Amino acid sequence: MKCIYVILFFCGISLSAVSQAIIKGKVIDSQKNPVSNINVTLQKLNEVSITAFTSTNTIGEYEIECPFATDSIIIKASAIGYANQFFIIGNKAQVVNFTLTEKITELPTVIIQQKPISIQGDTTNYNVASFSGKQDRVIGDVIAKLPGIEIDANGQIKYNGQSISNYYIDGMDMLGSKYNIANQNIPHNLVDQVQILNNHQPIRLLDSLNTSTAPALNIKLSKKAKNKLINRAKVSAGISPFLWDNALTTLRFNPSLQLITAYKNNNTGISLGNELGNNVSIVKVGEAAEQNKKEILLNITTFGKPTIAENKYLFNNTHLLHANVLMAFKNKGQLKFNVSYLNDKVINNIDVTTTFKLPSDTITLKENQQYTTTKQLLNNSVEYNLNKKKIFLKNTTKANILLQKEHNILKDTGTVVQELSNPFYEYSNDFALQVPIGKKIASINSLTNYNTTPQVLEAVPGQFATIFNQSIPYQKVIQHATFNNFNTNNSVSFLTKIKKWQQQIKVGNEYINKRINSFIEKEVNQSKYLLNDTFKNNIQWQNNRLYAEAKTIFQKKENQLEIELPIEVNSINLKNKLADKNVSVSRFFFNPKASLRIVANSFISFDLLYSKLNSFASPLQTTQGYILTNYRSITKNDTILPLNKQSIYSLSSYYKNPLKGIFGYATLSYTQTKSNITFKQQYNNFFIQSIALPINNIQKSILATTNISKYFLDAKTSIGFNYTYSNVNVNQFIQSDLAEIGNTLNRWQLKISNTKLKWINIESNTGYTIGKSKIATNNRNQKSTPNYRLDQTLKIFFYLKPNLILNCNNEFYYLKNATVKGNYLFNDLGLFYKLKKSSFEISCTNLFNTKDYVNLTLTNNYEQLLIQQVRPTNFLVKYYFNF
Amino acid sequence: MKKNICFVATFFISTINFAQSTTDRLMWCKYTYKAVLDSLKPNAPKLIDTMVLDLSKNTSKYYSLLYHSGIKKKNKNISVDGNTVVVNSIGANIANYETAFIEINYSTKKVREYDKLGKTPTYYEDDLKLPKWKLFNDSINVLNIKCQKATTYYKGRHFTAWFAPSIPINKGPWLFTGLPGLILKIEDSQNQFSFICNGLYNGNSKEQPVEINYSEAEKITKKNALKRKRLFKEDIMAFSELEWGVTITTNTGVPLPKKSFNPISLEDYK
Repeated sequence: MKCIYVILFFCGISLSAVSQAIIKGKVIDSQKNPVSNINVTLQKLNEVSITAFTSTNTIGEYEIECPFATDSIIIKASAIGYANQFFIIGNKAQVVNFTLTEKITELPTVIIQQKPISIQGDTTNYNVASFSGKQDRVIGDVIAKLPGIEIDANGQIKYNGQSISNYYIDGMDMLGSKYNIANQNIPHNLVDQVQILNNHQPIRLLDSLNTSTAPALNIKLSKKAKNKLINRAKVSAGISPFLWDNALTTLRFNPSLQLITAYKNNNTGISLGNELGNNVSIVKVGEAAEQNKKEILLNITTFGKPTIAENKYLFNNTHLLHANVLMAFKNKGQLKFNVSYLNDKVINNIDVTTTFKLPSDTITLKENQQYTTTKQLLNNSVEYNLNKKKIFLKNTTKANILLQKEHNILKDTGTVVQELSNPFYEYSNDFALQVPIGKKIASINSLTNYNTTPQVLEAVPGQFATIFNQSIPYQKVIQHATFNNFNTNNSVSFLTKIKKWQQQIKVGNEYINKRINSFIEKEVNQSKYLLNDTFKNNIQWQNNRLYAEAKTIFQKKENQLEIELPIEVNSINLKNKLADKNVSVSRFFFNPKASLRIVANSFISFDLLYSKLNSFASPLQTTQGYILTNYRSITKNDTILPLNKQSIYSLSSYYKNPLKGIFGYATLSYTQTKSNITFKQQYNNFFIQSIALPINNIQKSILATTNISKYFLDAKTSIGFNYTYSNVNVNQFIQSDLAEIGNTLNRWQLKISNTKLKWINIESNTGYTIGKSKIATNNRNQKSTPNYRLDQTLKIFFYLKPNLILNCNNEFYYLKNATVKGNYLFNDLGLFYKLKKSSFEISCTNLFNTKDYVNLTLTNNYEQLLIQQVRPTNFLVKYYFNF
Repeated sequence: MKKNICFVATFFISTINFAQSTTDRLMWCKYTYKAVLDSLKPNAPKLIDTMVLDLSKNTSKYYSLLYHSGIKKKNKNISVDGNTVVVNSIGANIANYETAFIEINYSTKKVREYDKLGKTPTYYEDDLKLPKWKLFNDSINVLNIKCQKATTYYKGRHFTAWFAPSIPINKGPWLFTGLPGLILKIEDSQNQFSFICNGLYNGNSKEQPVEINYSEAEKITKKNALKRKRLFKEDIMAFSELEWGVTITTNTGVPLPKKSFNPISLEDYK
């Protein structure tokens, strides 16, 4: 027994001797200076885990105890700034010294990683670098690809189906609704994040009172974008004919100054006017206030827009200059200037076949139209705003001038030349002030609009000879038509919040004054004759609208019920000076509106809306004298006060889970508009006479949209599906039969993109549309043959080298209806070579030189077949550089 | 005298000086920091902040990027207006930021904790207490970098750390130090505090952190500093009254509720 104890005792000594092996030493650098704070670690041979560690003291010495009993161990000295050094040594007490050599330690390049999507409170952050491709240039290119965000053809940004309310650049709203300018000019590599601000309230005074449910978007710039002037340029030349596409952009973003200015020109089919597009941020359903919009009296364009990309068919020569400045002052005030000048010339050559379906007949009209539009547009806007906790003040003044001339040569029907001078001048001032008074917030709003549209249409030879010139052919007909509009809307409101309730009382007055003046001249044997009063209008329309509105909002967490009960008294005075008629009436309108937002959880929400709006329609519908709207249409109305009663019901449901990249929404809306006017279309050969009759008319429309999208974060793949259904029913007299006309549209769309692979990016967009119409009269039902349309866009980007990209853009269209069937294929190729501060691009558009494109539209009782001339094969060399 | 609390919020943020310096910076990192603010409500929304660890050879600096940059949107109660943050019902939010700025000198083994809770910035100095680490063979990847497991009981809490032997810097967020590799992830056993690295930058990289200059900070005792911090976190209105000598109201008129303070260091706030 003692023997065993002795053996155990000695074993114990020997084990303890192994486990307590202490290794000491010193670490010096190549200059033989001791180095402190160096990691010294021990590992078992063939194992990666560290089992013991220490660090050197101020004189470079260390001491480490080996806790395990293997024969050999690895001892390693490491520190950033030095090359690692290690030795394989026996497991025993000893001295091991290290001499480290200096080495610049570069961290692995892959380790800076940001989540593509993150959420902080109500803010969803998209990391721009995670979604941008090498082919992208401006931030708009990247925003369009972000999960849950879509940009429509006009540039309007929507987040999960809802239009954004504000577009900020580093928290400042520089451009208002003209945010296409930022999307088209700010390079994506100057932006760190795109942020969606949910439940955003732009007025700080209302921060705690009111919550807007519309999301806002903020562009968070990177440091390299700030406090310096950024100049970028594009110079391009090509054939054929001689082509150019140039741009010069200057940007500056300071905390106190933001600037975006650009000059661009091209004749390559890029419509620069889109950059100035106004994206109405929130469409206020049931809003009765008068807008400053252009009323179309005369319109010689009798065909719709082709459904292919605009740069495929636009023969243009466009110049655009704009300057946008925001100055932020220390008192939190901001002054904004937005000035732009657009000079645009567009030439179009198009064959239009229009088939009018009449109860007992079909009329087919073929026109070859050579169409030239020249447009000069000058927009000026100045805004001052003060957005503080105790005051909100905003005044915006706008003055815009549009000088537009259209020239149209029509063949096939005997040559007719139309000239339309179509200018538009508008001025507006919008003032808003909000201040707290006690526990209430008082608001004063004042809006003044003035616009005028003096149009002149000339048609050679003279048209409607039977009506205008006793059936004798004549040289020229000249239609003059001027529409003037002045309105001013002033209101005062008080907002109170008591716990979860908000109450707003608003009273105001709107005065509207519209004048319509039109007359027709004919030119016979070089002499001009003014046609009699049957062809003249001189109308003055005045409306004094007194309104009071009680709005109640109940909020519980994020759920919100909003009820508006506005009442208004409209005092109308309509003077028809030619007919010596003077009608004065008063109308009382009650326009209730209710909306309910239910937020089930952070993913699911619902919106329900009901709105009723009684309003007077445009006084254009009171023109008793004939107006020649284009060479083959004249209109005439009966003198009756046109009244619309509109009811809207809508239901929307939303699902969003940004972190998993899942978004979906479904909306269903039904609108019913009762009008006291029914139009009668009288066809005489292909001349159309449109007359408004005092007969009640009900228009019904149903719109349903469903959208589902999923972004697979790891696979960098996005799949989106969209379905839209619309149905519009309206009553209209065709010849002498009252017909109910129904138009139905079904569209399915599938979008797929993949950016995972390092050598290729793919974006595919496929759409399929079916359009139908039916005309029902007392005698019979007439259904048109449906129109079918398949469109597919496939963009493939090959990353041949890190700085060399080959892009292939393929567009395919298939169309079919009763008379036409066709396939159209457009291919573009481009090679993009990127240098450090500049890049080159060689591109070829319409590679196979497709000559034309057929477009089908089906509206009410007519069907249009357009053969649109397409831009030929173009070659372009572009050079982009910064300076 | 009554003043709007928003004024104070703006003041808290706007009077910190900024300076750029890249001197002897080895590297810098960003961490996502999550903390339970009230230990009695572990399921309430956590503080989520982005922290900077700025590493030089013998010193390290650790602070909230969101708080010190001063222009971030934390939630809907803070609105961005140019470069100024305006906080609505601010007390809750300011107290929810990690306001401390920690500087460690590894040569002298001293820690300085700066803060700007009131009128002037203050700091206190303390000895650096080194955690005692126990190593394990387990490993995970953080930012695609292999990390080894280590545990410690430090300042009253049990922590599990994951360090990267391939980045031989024996430092980490907050006061964690002494492992033979940079700590990329660390969390406590009760799941109340976590630090996860989300970005590593070379010292000479183009992107540099904003440095904060506390040269005018006033030295106070550790005891006094901890007392001030506790009051600031638990009762912002009482703290403000004490500091500014004025009665402060929120713009809604409803006083801010008192809170329970959940410090990461239980030992210091015993």
